[in-house]
Amino acid sequence: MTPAQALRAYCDAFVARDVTKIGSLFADDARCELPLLERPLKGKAAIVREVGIATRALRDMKVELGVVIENGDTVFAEGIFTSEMVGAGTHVDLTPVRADFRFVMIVEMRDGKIARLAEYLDTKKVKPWERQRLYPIARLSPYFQGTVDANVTEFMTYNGMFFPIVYSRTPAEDYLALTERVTMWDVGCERQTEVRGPDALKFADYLATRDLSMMKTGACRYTFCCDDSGAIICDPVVLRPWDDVVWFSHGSADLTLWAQGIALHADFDVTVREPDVAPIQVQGPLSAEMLRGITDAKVDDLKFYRCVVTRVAGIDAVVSRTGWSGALGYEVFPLSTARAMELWNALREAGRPYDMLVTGPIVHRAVEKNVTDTGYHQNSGMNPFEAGGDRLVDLDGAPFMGKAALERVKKSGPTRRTVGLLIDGDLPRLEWYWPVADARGKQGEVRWAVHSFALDRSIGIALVDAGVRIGETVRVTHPLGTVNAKAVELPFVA
Amino acid sequence: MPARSLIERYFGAFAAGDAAAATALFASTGLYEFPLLRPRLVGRAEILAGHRQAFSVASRIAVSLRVVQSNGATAIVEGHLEAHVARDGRDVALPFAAVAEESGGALQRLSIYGDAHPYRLWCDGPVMAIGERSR
Repeated sequence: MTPAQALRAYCDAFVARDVTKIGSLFADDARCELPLLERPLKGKAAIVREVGIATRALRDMKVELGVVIENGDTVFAEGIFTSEMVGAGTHVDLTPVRADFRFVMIVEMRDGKIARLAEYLDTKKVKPWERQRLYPIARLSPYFQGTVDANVTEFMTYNGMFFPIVYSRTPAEDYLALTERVTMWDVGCERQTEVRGPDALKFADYLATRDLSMMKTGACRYTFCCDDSGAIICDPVVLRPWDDVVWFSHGSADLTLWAQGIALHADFDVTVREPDVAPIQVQGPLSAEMLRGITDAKVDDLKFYRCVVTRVAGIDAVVSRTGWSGALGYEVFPLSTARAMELWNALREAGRPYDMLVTGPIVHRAVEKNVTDTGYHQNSGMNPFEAGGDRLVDLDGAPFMGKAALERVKKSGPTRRTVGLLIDGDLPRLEWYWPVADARGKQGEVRWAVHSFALDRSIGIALVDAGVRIGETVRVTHPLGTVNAKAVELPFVA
Repeated sequence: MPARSLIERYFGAFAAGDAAAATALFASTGLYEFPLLRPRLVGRAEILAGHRQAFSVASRIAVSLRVVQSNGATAIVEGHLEAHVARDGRDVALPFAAVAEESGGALQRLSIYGDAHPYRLWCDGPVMAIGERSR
């Protein structure tokens, strides 16, 4: 194969997403220099893996080569690449997010195989230039500088703190790092409502819809906290790291103020506060292997929904086997933010051999696994039965906030239900809930919507009238138009 | 002058910070594209102004050319550019490739490919808007 033939074969295989063919073109010790990657790839295996990610990140790819100049074992070519980014939604004006650029590619051959492939292009065309500007209306995470160094581009506010959500990469890169390797998330905004004192567990049980009375030290539970009307305030993970301390590691809601208000006027021997604890999530199949070397406790022995008080990189912390990936992962809760960046940097270093990525929470995967999140101000007035959380409500146990209201809901039956939707076509980013309708009229709203990389299609989670049946076709109206969607059971991916 | 000679001379002039010599290699309607200079520069007046702006903010420029390949009218080069940008107080290290098209012995097009993402533009302000006024 001549250098020009190899270059053309590479381009053809790339647009055809034929990773096997691409692998066959390279020498085992080949080197690949692609400016969209942080460092050169060494070896065929690394090249095949990264090119595989790129081909899943893009679609409708086209390569048009212009001048091609071959001399000996080397070929230089100038070309134009056009494509659409998968799973990135649309721009604000609803045009698709594209990755179009001109490039020069250089291929050097050895013994009929590509020994070096170098590409030159300006990634300013395809990457955001700078991060979103902030205002002093919310707190900065103690890991803020670390996220900036990792090229964060977008934040949202969560519990009065800026929450890094999007980094300068394609959604597919983040998704595949989570499902195949390991990722690290700044979730300093995931605040703890700490209940401390002799009645800590009893008071925690009063706040939660789930019976926590038998919860042992070192255990964790997923639960709802509801107001007195039964509406969900948030759906925290409860940790009991010490005998007399319970943490509600909660979503975006004023749970600490709520708990403090109740504690002030109830007969519990507790103090309630928000401690200086800012967690980091380490999620992915290699997370245990990565944490093993820097955690005093044996993370491999930590069972699902268990926690341990230990040291990570010499820093006192609670480590729990929990997280927002629906698979293997851990949360590290340092007991103070005084050495926050030291912890951050130690985790990044520990992740380096595993090609760990610093990412935001990966919503594409969370929706596939029905691992969602709900906050008081955007939960559609939803109660736990409507959210599909019947198993998280213990009406037979001790009194808890919202119990009477939830008993009434249970007796009469919930008026709404949560279903999955297989939605036709491409989706813009969900910026507010999209209406769901059928022949009877409006039936509810889409609360989550993403591209599923596992199913290679658009999916969503909707809160709909209880009369909507699984298998029924409904209509979803979003900014790109009105499309069909089929109601299905959750989760989308086991 | 063949494309290979033009591209080698161009980068020689660029390394010397000689805007006039670099510009003189272009045809009167030549096209110049360089990722550290945002838009395309068309014609000698714009190309000269762009180079002057670049050299006014950059010093200690060094260019090394690794391989040049040519088919006569077109040449492609792989190289490395380094410079100190006094305005930003930082160094630039830009691996690049460049495509030169020759017509009538002059550069009809010079397109430089490199990743400018880590850097601010060398050229901003009025240089891109001079149009006909400075011709």
